[in-house]
Amino acid sequence: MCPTEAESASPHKRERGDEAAFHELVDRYANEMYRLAVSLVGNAVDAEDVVQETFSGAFQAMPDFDGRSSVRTWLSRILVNQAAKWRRRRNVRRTVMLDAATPGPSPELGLRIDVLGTLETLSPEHREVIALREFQGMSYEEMAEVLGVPRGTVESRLFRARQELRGRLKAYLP
Amino acid sequence: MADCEYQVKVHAYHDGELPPLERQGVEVHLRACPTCARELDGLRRMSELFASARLPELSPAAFHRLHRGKVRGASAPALVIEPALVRTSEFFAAAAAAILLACAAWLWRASAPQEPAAMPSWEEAPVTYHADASTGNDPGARVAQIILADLR
Repeated sequence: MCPTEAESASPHKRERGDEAAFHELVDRYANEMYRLAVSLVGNAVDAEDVVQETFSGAFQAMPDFDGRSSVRTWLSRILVNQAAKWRRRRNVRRTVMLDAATPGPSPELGLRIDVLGTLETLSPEHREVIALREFQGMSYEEMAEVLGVPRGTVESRLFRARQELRGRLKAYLP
Repeated sequence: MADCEYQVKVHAYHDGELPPLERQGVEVHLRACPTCARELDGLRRMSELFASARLPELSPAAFHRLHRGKVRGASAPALVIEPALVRTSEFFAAAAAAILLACAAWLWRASAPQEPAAMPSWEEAPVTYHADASTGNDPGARVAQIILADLR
């Protein structure tokens, strides 16, 4: 996805001291980044912290933003890194035991819990490609840019992640 | 492990990542390969599943915190204080306040005009001890009598 002129220009406004540009950035991307954070860390509270750190990091990195990537890709990259930092800080490997054969009683919430819980059982690399592709709708090129890996790596990770998920979401994927 | 060599391409086809010519090639293959057709069907179902698992939105309060946090960071980055430091400083501030209060109370009492201490009534009053028959053999009562006699 190519950056629009407005998208790429926003961070440079900050260099000129325009704080409103940053507020605009929050207004435009906070929800999207929050959903990505939820899909990566698996819960709302930690996701909010990760988003907070993402925007704080973005604010610090504003002068270095060269506009070669879209703001969305740039922010997503910061967020993926912040989520990885969060995982290291947490330093607890939680094992989510899911009975995929018995979806939750409340359809929407149960589905969300099951999907997020299943994502947590994936390795961080596989979770990232699924989150970026399925929740953010990113292209392979964008994902490669966000994750800092070649496009071929994105394709193979995505293929393996989906193979894993298929087995774990059997109740939903007959 | 892919069951058919086209399977990886089927994923790229599903994701809309193939150029038109390759796309047509996959479509031809899909008509002839039930394994890849099933794979594509599974991929579509999975994407639908993710789409229907609606992720939560950021609350208005969280939005506010994001904006506020940024402004704080922008205007005074040097004033960003670690929470632990804040808690320590709060403890010392409370301790200092308590010491100040104690000193103020002590000074107030010390500066108040001193009244001549009235003699306690028990020192003036004649003290008598009425030993009754029940305390006659009580050692405690006898000790009390000795003390009273000494006071007189």
